[in-house]
Amino acid sequence: MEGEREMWKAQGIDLKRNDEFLEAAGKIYGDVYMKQPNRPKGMGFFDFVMSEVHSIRPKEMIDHREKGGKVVGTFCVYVPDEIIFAANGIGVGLCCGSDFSFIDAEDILPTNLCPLIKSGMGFKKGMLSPYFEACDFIVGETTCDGKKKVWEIFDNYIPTYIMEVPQKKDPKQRELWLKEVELFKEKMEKESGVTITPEVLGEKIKLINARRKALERLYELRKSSPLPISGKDALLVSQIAFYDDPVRFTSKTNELCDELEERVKNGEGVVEPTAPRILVSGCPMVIPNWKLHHIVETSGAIVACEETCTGTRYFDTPIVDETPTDIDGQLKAIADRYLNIKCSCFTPNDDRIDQIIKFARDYRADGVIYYTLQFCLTYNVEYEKVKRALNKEGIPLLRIETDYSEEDTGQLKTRIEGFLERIS
Amino acid sequence: MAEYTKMWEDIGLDLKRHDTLLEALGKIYGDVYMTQTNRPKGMEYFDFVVSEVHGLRIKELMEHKEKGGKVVGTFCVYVPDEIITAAGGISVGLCGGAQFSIPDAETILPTNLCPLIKSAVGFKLGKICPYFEAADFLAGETTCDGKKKAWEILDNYIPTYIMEVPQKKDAIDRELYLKEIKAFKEKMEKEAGVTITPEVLGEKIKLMNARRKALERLYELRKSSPLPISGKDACLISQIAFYDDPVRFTSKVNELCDELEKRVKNGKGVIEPTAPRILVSGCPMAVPNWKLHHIVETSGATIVCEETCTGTRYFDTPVVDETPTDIDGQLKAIADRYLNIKCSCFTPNDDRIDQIIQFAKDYHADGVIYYTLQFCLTYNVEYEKVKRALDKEGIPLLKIETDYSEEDTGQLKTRIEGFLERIS
Ligand code: SF4
Ligand code: SF4
Repeated sequence: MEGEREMWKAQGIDLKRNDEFLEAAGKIYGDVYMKQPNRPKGMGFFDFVMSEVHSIRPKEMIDHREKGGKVVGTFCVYVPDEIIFAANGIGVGLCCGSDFSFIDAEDILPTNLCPLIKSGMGFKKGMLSPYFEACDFIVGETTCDGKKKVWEIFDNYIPTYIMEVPQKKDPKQRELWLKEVELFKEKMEKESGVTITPEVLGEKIKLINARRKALERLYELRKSSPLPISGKDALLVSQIAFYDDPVRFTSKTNELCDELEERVKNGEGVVEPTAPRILVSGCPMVIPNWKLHHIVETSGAIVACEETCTGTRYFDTPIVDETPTDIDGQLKAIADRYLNIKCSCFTPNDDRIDQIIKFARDYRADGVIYYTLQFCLTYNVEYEKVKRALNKEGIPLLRIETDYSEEDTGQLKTRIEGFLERIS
Repeated sequence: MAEYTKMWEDIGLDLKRHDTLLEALGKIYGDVYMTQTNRPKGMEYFDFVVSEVHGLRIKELMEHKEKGGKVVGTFCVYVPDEIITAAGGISVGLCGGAQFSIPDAETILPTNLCPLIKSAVGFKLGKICPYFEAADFLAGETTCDGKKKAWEILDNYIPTYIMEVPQKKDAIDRELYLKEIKAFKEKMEKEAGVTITPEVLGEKIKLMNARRKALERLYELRKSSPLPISGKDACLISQIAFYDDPVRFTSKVNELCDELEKRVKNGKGVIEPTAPRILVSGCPMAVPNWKLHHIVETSGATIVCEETCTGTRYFDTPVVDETPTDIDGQLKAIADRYLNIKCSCFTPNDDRIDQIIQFAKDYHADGVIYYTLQFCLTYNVEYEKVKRALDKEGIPLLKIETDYSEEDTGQLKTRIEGFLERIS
């Protein structure tokens, strides 16, 4: 993009390190993505988005702010985009997937902390991300101990608002959550100076639902055999959903799905139908964390579904009910939909386990890889319950706990190859 | 202890491993406690309690059960003992402080988990702790990710009830917590088959307040110089508070305090008044975790206060208001008091930071050791804020992150000695 360097400079980005990061990310992207055979044509748009990752979208955000709109950074699928957009805001997912920025966070965070959180803190503190710098404020939540406590430290660098996500799903927790959603609406109104009307909120509910439906359509197509799209490509689409313009994203994803439908009709796939199909379940994977998918898909197998926040948890569970026409009803519909997401931060969270089993069947998975980021306690401890349930169903399961470094890649590859042998 | 063998057998302990545990415990206790000089005579009772830790108290619990009473295991200072005892129950703190049972837990829990949780779960799995075997059920809570999720798994081995502790302290959180308290009261009534009357609840509120006041009196005396009691001994008393009979415990602590008052009056201490005074702040230390205290107090310094759950967090913050005479008022008073505890599971938790500074002054501390258990995210991340605040006040600070093993003892000793040199 023309003028990107000036933009970064004006934002205060550390230009030298930004160059280093973009170069490294570009190289990884080339290695991981551009060597895939048989890619759908529709991935061209997403390749383009990636090639401009620090340029075009941040520029759109800055333009939006110049016109008086707000840009709000989020880190979790529980923070309702509907409300941000209804207050003339743009919501952007800021979770970070690279160990490039660890060094920037090292002196203020413990080592034994999930890489996703460390990476995010590092990008902000080191002034490495034009997305962070384009935000008016960020919205954190209380989903896990690491995030909950790190927001307090974030607040020293950028204003940080906290939404409380409860820990059980009984009626009293639903009440608390609805209240938090209402408070967030007030917060957005105050920040933006906009009063959210039922008309606009209804529109934005439809907008975000449309994004969900497009993703659902994409995932639906991944149930076919042969698979019309690689797991890597589908993951990338899910990742980009968090920060691209929702209208454009939805239409591009639907275009891609049109193409994939043709493929399915013609029995055209990206790999042999005999390649083992893997369901990945666990922690989110954010750009540029394609580590697991890359290992799996260069080992003769393919990822058919991600039961993660950058996967089904983002769009699954019924969409927000579009029937209410008053604010209270709409907020309630939003609260209800979001509290159905099956994150391991809840206790108990048995619905997730049922869903993993169901997904394994629906996506015709030959095995499940349970993926956790290092030090992510909730997903890590929940593994034991998942294991018991999957063993009972006779679904093969491999557990991977890893971070963003490449140190364990060789070892992971050996373990994954062993698993694939066992299940094929 | 041969007299108890039959009892241990009856409650299903793994006798062989239990013997090994008791033997190890006796030896550690001898090394850590009985080698101290100038101990107050009043410590004899607590030595006795430890010598009977799996004997006499368990016998009392079993007798209580025979008479139809309930025994409830707890793990957290947010679970109100008032309600358990008002329903005719006995509560016992079950946090684990021993390395011994950790390998048992690691068969079903991740390695990267706080040792306190692993130790406790391991005791249950290995059938090596008579307190676990005596408990009718457990009352867990949602204070940290590790505990929240581990309770779900523990529930496969012993019925585990969960109280939600909210994550902020706003009005809606207070409401939620009050409802959780009410639900817990109903749970206790159902389990015990009794109706809790305001009379009995009022009595139990007074009982628990008396225990708090006795501990407060003890800690008050630790503000003197020279110190009338070692940190190790005071820490032991706090630990025993969690499982001893509250009436007996309170009277014994008060007896000890009478003796300590005399000491203070006569200027008699356990150590030279010039020995550096340390405030310990952070994670709880459960029996037999005396690791840090032992290192500090065999390095020429002494511990004057623990800002931990096995310290000030257990009794500090106003006692429960004794004025309400109806159940609703009483439950509200209980909820209010408990929600004032300053645990790092809350966001924000700045009151804790103010309190650490206050304690450092009140207890005339020369330095603060910030103590965290490995993988305890909330205390570990909160450190950064504590550090900033203490730096500003010019209070010397050392951070220790450790587990229950003895592997790092040498290294810790070196670091602590270096710190003591710096501050004396
Ligand atoms: S991966 Fe786990 S620890 Fe990391 S942010 Fe998500 S829930 Fe928290
Ligand atoms: S020490 Fe920390 S991680 Fe361990 S139980 Fe307590 S709060 Fe949880």
